[in-house]
Amino acid sequence: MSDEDAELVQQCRAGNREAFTVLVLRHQKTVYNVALRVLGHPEDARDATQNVFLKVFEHLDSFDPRHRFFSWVYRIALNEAINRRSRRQQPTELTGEEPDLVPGPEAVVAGEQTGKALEGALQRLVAEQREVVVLRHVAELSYEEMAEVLQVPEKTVKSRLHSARMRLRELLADEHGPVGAP
Amino acid sequence: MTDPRLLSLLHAELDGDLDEVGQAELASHLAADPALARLRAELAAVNAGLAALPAVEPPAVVLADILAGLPPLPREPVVVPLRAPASAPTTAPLAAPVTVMRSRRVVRVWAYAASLLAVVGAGVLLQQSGLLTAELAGEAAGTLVQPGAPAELLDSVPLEFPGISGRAQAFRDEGVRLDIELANAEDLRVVVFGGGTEQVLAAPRHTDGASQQLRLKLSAAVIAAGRVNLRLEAQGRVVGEASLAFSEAAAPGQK
Repeated sequence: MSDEDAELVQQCRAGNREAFTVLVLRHQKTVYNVALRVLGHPEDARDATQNVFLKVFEHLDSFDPRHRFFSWVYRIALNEAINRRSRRQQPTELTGEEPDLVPGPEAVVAGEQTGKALEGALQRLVAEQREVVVLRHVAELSYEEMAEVLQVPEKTVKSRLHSARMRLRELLADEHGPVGAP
Repeated sequence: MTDPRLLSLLHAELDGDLDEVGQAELASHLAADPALARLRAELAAVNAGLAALPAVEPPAVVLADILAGLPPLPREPVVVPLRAPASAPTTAPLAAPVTVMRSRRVVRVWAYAASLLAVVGAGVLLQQSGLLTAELAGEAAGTLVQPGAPAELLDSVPLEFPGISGRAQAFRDEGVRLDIELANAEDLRVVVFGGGTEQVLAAPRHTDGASQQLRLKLSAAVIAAGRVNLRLEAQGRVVGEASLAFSEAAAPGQK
């Protein structure tokens, strides 16, 4: 994957606009889902995804090919989503209102709504926990890749992910009872 | 409170990182500690739920919007004259004028905390968090302005272009003052023109996303024209345009 991306980046730098379209097609789904899980709103995720790729395009010349392209893109995506969320002053954190992805209490009763409950709980994590969960479970990166994206040691990534799991468990238990209970 | 070492074993198991020795140790603890077994089940449920979160397909419009918003590739430079020819009017309507807000509300403008920099040529005062410079072409579009006084907002336009966000605002302030706030990831030239005058300001890039502020007191010629135009340029290409109108503004010395 990395080699193909590197080749496409090289073609972009040579003026091949179609190569950039291919890069977008290869990564837009992950970028969009990362933004969606960080922001919790499809409309915001859409705008964030657009901004991410515009930034990628504008700064292609500054991309260091010794690094993996996706880790650079995902780093930009995380920053964009987290900054956008900060600017928006997430209502959840300030007023207790729930974002779009949070279900009502009745929804949790149904097994298929467990994912919705998790999505809501995910919005309540602090940024550094949310980003590791998103990179692990949405972008499906390894610890090594997450460490590269976040520019922190692998042990820090693991520690944050462990804390995030514990916090999610608490949040779900607080609102809906013990996780996994019938 | 669960033993941190046992917690570490639990998470390692969830991550598939637990070797046989660790698995055996964890199994013995789980058999003896129902609370630990419950915690393990709950964390496994969280992990399974996260792994099962559906990946959403981005709307088709995302790709279309991205491609539509792309500037020319760096290897496809668009040659745009930085200055209009001497015979060309600099107050010509912009190709795509930004809709202006006709707010008449009085706003209080706080003195900027950033340092004051760059008083150049005919006297331009620029205020921002970083370095700014100005180049003057013929009669300057603006002159020195003093900070901090309350002012009436005359016009306000967003400056939202790829890689750029900010706002330009015109205030009545012993004449008319132009405040420009910019967050730009690329070095920009901000060409301010109107009333037969032109002035170029430099807005260096701020890769950390911080914004910078430029302030300019508009000349009598610009005020008389009732409109000031902005053209943002990066690496010789136009990346954004905007226009502010202030037909109801008082000319210098008038109230």
